[in-house]
Amino acid sequence: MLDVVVDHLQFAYDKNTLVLGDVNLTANAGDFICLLGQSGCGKSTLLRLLAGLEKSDPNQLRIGGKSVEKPSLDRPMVFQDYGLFPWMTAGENIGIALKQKYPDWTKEKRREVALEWMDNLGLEPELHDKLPRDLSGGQKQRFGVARAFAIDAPLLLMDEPFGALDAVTKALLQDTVIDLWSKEKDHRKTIFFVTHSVDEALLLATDIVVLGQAPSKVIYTHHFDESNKPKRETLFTDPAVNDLRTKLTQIIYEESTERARRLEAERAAQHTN
Amino acid sequence: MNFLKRNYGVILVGVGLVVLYILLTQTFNVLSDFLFPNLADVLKRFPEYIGEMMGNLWASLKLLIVAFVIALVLGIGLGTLIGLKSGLRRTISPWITAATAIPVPLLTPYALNIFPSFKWASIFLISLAAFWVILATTIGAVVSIDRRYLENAETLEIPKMQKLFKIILPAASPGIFAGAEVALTLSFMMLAVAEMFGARAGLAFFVHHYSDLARFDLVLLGFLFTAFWLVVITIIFDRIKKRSLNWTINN
Ligand SMILES: Nc1ncnc2c1ncn2[C@@H]1O[C@H](COP(=O)(O)OP(=O)(O)OP(=O)(O)O)[C@@H](O)[C@H]1O
Ligand SMILES: [Mg+2]
Repeated sequence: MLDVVVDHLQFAYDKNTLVLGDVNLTANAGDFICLLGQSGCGKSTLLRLLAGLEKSDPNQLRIGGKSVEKPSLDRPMVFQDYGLFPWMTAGENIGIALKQKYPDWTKEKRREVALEWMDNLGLEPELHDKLPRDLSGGQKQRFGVARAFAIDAPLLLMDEPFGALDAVTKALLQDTVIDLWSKEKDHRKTIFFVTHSVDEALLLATDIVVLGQAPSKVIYTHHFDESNKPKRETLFTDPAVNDLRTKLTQIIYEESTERARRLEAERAAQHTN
Repeated sequence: MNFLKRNYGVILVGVGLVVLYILLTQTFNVLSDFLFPNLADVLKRFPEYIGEMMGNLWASLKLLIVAFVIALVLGIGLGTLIGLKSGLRRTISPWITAATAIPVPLLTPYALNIFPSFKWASIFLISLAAFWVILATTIGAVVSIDRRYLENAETLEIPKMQKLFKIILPAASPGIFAGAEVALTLSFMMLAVAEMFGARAGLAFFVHHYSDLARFDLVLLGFLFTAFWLVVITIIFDRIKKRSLNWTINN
């Protein structure tokens, strides 16, 4: 439910190497943005900037009309790993988030709501009192997603949340996320979702954004209207979707070979000097 | 029965040590029986001296517990503060390193002089020895907390105090426990050192006192009694540690 304006965003961890070169993109409230791009291009960095974990220029990044000063409960992040605190039970991990968002809830109320969200993500109630180390990778991811949705934030940031899962579990979780997002009809959350999988992006996104190599820019965007958004059933049969898949794959591939060629040329130039 | 089964290795080693002692003393007379008396004679003294030893145990425990708790609170408290504030850390850590260069036992005469009673002087010495270790390990543990946990806490806007008790201390607890374990051993040693100067009671005092009177049967009895209680304390500490760290992968 928050719009995001990224305007000529630049970012470097250390002064000499730009990671984000000149990123421009606009997300309307309720958009589901999937970020694609080669490893190292700065997808996680962009998410960290959106989360407020890295400092950005207030003119270059505005969320809901405001600059991003610091992390906020309005912009929770689902981390690929280290998402849960291992010293708390899985359920307490949801509970501690609820406690910040709804300070006047009782412990019982928090537990009740945590169990509801666990149920939404297909997690058995017994898992509430287990430690994260005793859960499978998929279960941990689900707890991370449950926590992010439970605090009902207007903007969700998800960094390859399903990267390490098997195909079936992944499909189930993708469907759950689409479901949770789309059923909130006119106050849908804005979601930024990083993935390496073109198919995952096709399935989830209202908008696909491809980042080029660092220092990165947006090299391609595609917007789906509600009516022509790919469904799981048509993901591999719809010719339009197939064309788009080929195109995206090609763009990402060409960008990476282009970069390889550029690096090669630079190296050659250094040799001759 | 179950207990015997689970700990048969420990028991075997114990029996081995007793046999070795008997061999070295009565059987082959390698060690003088004046300094190393007959074990059976030593154990015969037990009923007679148990009351005196329990009194001494209590005197020692009082010092140890008070001192160790003070060291824990100050060491973990200051260590966490210094670990979290990098500016403070830079200013102060050379001084901490410098301070740890002074062997605490050397401070005994000063402590006895400065503090009003022997009790507080010993508490100071035991605390200090334990404190340096706990302080240093806590700083290290807090500094090396995985940044991702802290970032995760930030995105949830967990307020300061809750963050300290729910995130920072648990995340640092494996390191803190490792330090506290070393510190506990050091406090045992400092306790013995402290009691050898002006103490009127305590387990080390008991041993020291009868050693002065050349009653080496009672010295040995005191050692055995002390050793038993050290093991008990260590086991209790270990239990607490295991329970607190049950979330780590290694447990
Ligand atoms: N904390 C950091 N300090 C310095 N450099 C960093 C830091 N984090 C990332 N980088 C660098 O920034 C660049 C972009 O990293 P980022 O993690 O954003 O890539 P990514 O697109 O998420 O890659 P992947 O798909 O592999 O997760 C990389 O070159 C990386 O080495
Ligand atoms: Mg990444």
